[in-house]
Amino acid sequence: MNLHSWRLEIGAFPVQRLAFASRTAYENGTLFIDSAELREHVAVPAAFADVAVRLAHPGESCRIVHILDAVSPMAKVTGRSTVYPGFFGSALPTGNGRTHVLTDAAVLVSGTFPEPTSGALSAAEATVDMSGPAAACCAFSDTANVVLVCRPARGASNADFDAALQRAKLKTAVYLAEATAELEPPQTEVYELPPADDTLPRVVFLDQLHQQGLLAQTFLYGRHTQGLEPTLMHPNEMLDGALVSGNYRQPGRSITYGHSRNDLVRELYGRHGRDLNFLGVVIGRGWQDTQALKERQGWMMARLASLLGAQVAVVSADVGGTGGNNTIDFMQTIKACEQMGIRTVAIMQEAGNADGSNPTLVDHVPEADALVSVGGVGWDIPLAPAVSRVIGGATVQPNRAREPLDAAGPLQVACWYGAVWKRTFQGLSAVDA
Amino acid sequence: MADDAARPLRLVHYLNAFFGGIGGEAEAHYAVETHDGPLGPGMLLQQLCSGQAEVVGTVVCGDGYFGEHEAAVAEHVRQYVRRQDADAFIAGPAFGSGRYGLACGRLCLEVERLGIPAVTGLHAENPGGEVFLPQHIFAVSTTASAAGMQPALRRMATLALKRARGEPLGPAAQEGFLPRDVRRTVDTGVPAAKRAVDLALHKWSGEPYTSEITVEAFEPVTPPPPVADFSDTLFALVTECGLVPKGNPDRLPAAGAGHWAAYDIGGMPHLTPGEWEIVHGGYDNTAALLDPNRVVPLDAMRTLQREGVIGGLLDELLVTVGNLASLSAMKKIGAEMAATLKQRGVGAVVLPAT
Repeated sequence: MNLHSWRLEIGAFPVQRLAFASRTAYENGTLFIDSAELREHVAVPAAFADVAVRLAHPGESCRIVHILDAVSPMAKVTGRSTVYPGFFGSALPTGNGRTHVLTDAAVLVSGTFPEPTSGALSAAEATVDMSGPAAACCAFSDTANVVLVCRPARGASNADFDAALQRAKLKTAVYLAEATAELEPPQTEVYELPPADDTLPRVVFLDQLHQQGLLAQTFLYGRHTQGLEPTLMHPNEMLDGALVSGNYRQPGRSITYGHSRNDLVRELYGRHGRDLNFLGVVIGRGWQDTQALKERQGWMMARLASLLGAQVAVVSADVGGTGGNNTIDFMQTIKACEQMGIRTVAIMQEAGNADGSNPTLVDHVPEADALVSVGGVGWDIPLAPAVSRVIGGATVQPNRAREPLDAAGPLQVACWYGAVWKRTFQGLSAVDA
Repeated sequence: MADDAARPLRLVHYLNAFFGGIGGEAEAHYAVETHDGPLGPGMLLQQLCSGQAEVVGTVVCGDGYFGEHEAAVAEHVRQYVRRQDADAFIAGPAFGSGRYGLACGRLCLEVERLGIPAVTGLHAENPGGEVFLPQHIFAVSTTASAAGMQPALRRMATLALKRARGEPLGPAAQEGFLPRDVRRTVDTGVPAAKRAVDLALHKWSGEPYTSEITVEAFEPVTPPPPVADFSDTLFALVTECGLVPKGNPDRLPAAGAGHWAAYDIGGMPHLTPGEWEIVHGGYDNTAALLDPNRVVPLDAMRTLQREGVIGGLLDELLVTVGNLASLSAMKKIGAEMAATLKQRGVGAVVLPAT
């Protein structure tokens, strides 16, 4: 067995409509959900006082608030492991066999942590509008969403609540997709990396993960990545959900759904053997604590890319999620790759002033001479009108220095949930103007 | 803006003494004066406008004179463009000439402030660009020498006319002007992942490639000379760590701060846990909340003060939030803080980083 022999089939079941029913089933684009059975399935009495299941469709006058994560509903039908491996028993390597995915649908989890938090290790307000001018700025405004609204049990700690949230969202994702287990997928895609023409450029994807501590972390095979040294992944492992987000910091943060549907993985797959040779994914932790560790992180990423024989590296931080602190680790990675002879391109978001003036990156190295921009999230801020239905809470507090606002009222926030990721596939960029 | 589209737009042109035909270095101190109609390169400018605009007047000034009388010349030009009812102002091109470029940049800025579009032409390395492009003036990119006069004037005229008519502008690279520290969102219609892989393969193949973000050169900050005598110096604590009294009375934000605050620490032997909170959203502040002295070392400063190592400690703690802040906001905050500290007689600052 080697990299070339991993083969994953993904059967896609498109979802146009969600509806509550007495039995969970998938029929012709409609997913029927037995909400009582689902709630029983995800109950963790020690951590949750209760879990409500709500549905939201594109185009509805509906706002979802306090979103913590979104997950692609999928289940392993055949193969040695599970989807979201490490969260369901032994951490067997995943990425082979057949996975069924409910496409155009997502499981969202909404909640408020029981204990007070501050600084980086706290949840920022993350909101989605299903219609209106803000919908274009939100991820999951165009998917049919099953929203789990989780309320912490009395006495539950943030760590207890977080662990229960991870289980609830992933179990729900599997539970819903298992409704298709016996069905023939309308569409199947095969993901494998057969040996490619050795004159094609050898390309590696370097992904910088967000890891700072509880409430700001990424899981690899069920474990946080705090002490992670850069490691190699087969892209199929990403598609099968080996990376799970427990990161609630900025609303533009990484999303479990975004990891398992990673655009760069899919782009590189689509071109493997055609105009490039896709070597795999190197993941490593960003947000290292000191300048020395950030420089070390860059070299450790580049070192692994070089040992894999990479000639070209494409670098992203959860696809576009560069910002402050982690931009330094990111730049060090670009610099180290270039200095080791690997031609490097990176995807970044821009910051600076709301009018787009001012330097828009907080750090740079001269080697970072080929950057792709997703623009500045805070530059174009629509005013969202009042909505007729809110899922997840009565108030929102997009700015922690201000009083909470009526969740159903008109709302103007600099960054909607998943805004950075959304911009990557919308094709938004920025120019000097 | 012109009310009548058929009426030729009215341009006022600025030239230095050399291009105004007065002479070279010897005439650098030639005072400002105005002429009706075009002069020197203004003739070509007018011709390039092919009837869509006319140069109604020209201001000529020696570069040396400008340097010594900036404010007066600026006022003269402001009054002249108003009197001429100008639709647009064209300065230069100054090519690689530093003093001429600085004059053109300054005058463009002054005229823009009147609401009249202004365009100059500068070589990418002209110091006038370095000073005035960050203030968002429009400068067409030119050659270093006057050999590129015709293409420079052609692009300046095109840009000025477009702006005077209020037509939308394309990206800087397309319109031919130098980046002026303004970014705008565009829809490329191509997902970032595809653009990134395309760009990577271009870079690998050795073909020319263009970054979507121009890497900026940050201004180096030179460390000041060492403090001569601590025991004779008033110290101050200044921080970007976002430490504020409970309740955050000045509403400092978690990120993107535009202001700062000062808090009384006079007579406090140390910062007391529970009396302070941290609004900075960018770092794990658990340890700092347990003991605020570990981000703002008031306890250690008091020890140094007691031991006579330092001359004194300012009674105010100056605070802002350094998380994802814009450079211009931080420059403003830094300057305001420095002015305050200077006024209080502070000679040294301890600036703990987070």
